[in-house]
Amino acid sequence: MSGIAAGFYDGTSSVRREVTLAIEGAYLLVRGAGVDLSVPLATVRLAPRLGSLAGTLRLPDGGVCEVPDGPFLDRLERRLGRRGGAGRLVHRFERSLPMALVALLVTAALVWGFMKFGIPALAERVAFAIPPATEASLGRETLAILDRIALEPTKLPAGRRAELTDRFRAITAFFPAAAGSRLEFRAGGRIGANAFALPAGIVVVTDDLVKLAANDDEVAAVLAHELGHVARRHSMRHALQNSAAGLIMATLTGDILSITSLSATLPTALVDAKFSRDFEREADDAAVAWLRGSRIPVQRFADILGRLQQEADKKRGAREEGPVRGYLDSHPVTAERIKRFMGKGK
Amino acid sequence: PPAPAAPRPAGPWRLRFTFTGRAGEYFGIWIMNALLKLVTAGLYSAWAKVRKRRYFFGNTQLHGASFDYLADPMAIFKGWLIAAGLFLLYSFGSRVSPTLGIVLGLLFFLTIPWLVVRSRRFNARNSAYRNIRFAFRPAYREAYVVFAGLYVLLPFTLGLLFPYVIYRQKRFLVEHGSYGATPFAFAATAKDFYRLYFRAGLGLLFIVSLFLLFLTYGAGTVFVDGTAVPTGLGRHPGASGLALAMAFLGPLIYFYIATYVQTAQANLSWNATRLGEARFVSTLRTRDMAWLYFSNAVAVACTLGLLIPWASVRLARYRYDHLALETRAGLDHFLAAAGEEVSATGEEIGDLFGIDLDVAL
Repeated sequence: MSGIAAGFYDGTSSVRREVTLAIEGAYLLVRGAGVDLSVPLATVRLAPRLGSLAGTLRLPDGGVCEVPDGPFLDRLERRLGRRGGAGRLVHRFERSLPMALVALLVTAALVWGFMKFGIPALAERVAFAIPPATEASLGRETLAILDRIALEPTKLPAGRRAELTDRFRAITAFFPAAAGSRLEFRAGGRIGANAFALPAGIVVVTDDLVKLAANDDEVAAVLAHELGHVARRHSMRHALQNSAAGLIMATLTGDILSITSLSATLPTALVDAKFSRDFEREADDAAVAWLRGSRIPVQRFADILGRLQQEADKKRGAREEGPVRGYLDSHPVTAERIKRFMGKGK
Repeated sequence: PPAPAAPRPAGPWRLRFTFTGRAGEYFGIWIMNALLKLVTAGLYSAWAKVRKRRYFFGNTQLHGASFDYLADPMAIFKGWLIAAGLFLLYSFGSRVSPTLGIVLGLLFFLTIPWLVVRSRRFNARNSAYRNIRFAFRPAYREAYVVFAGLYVLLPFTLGLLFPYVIYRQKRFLVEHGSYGATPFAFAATAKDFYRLYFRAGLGLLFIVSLFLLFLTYGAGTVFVDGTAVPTGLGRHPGASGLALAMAFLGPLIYFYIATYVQTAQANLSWNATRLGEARFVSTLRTRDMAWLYFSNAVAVACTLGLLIPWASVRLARYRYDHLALETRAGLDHFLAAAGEEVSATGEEIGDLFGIDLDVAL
């Protein structure tokens, strides 16, 4: 076997010695100025190879040979290669353009698949397993924050509130998974007419929404929708999904400068919008099921949703609904939602 | 020009660092790392980190020899497990009770100086050049002074102590390091750091006052719909145009000044670093660095991260192309020091909490 020029460092001083390496039988010969070694191949270690870097060959006495990348190194690797098969495979894949492209596609598909199916499934499990005390404190905190930044004390008369609370209790009976939830009244302030479900089954309804409703059945339909969210632990799952998706993207792109974090947040935002759409549909279905069970026309729900949308459009100056909005809006376009569950109601 | 093969008695030589990594090649390593990290739910990250570091070290050349990163992925993996456990404890603790989260966060904060030393030690011990390892002598008491104690004094000095704190940190990190048996020395003074921050402060002040001047007195005219209108705060529509320009330029200028501080600090620290009789020469330029950061960020964002390998390689190449070692005695006389194994726990804990412990000079 022919030899090759390499650098030799003995490990006690920084002097570089030019040597020639050769394999003879079961021995590695290292020869050069002031060096004449014959080392059993079985005692030689080759560091896992990487790109086209020179190979680092460790001799048993602490010496190191720097072997240029090339056929000699390949041969040496094969001769020494009893262990580290997986590492060699990784090295081969890293160096091949088609494999890199395949890896790229598989990575992209995995990220997408995990975001779309894996995280929601995991978040669902975790959300149902979270200790009630934890969820209760989380719900309390969320409401406290909302009270501080957006909501104001309700101005509805106590009698009206009691009426609606009774109605709410009656609906809760239909959702065993939402047992223990409670209704909170608030003046919406800037938020206007709205209702939302927080962790621990806290349902908040704004005064404006109660006033906007033509009758109590409409309010009840909205409450049923929110209880649908509660029963399916949507707010908990949403929070979990968000942090998990963020964590995944951070792990993947962790090795870049912080100023490039935009690329990490954008996919999360897009996926996030999709999460919410599925949740809204589930809650719609729950509301429709309750309405039909209670022999209330599904049209009541459609009416109040339509009016809420009008209200929102008035506020936002009725922006156009372009195709982009369909993706970035966290609520599915209301008309589309109404059409869907009205179709189901028949 | 290529460095001479053997030192001659006359004048010092400037031995240049070079970086030979290629974006295309690194892309393969990077994407395989990403894929394997993904399918192993992060367990592969220790191996990925070692491969990445080895690629960047191995492609850094000085005087015909390359650097080597020798860390055992298994050691890093153990550290990763401990760090992951602590992270879970922290995130679960802060969910159960925010107070517990704050207490845990505070505890973590108190360990930072210790982590800095551990991480520095682990990485030094596992870095080698010409088969001689680097080392970092742990000095925990001093670490607590420079990475924690001095910060407590900052508010009492209205922040004027800050350049001194940075100076002490850089000095600490350099002075306790050694290459084999030869310790590094740090020749900069606190005055140098004050001068640097004074310049940055002056730049900031100048630009801020310029904008304030423009806004208050409306010194110029701005074209709005083809007609010239005098600018002045709130009086004309042109003022809003100027405010817009400021909102856009403000962050850019801030970014530029931050880049200046970082670049000048790197130059200052490298140029003050001695290894025996040899000294480092760093000639980074702020405008080059600012352009690199800016264009890298744009490229990475526009390709959803696909150009990360290109951006990393490009930055490393620029950095090393502007670093050299000036020596009269050459690089053949360094001797190894006896060493012991160092665990990777500190390094990994910091990593998982998003702290960059890879303290670059």
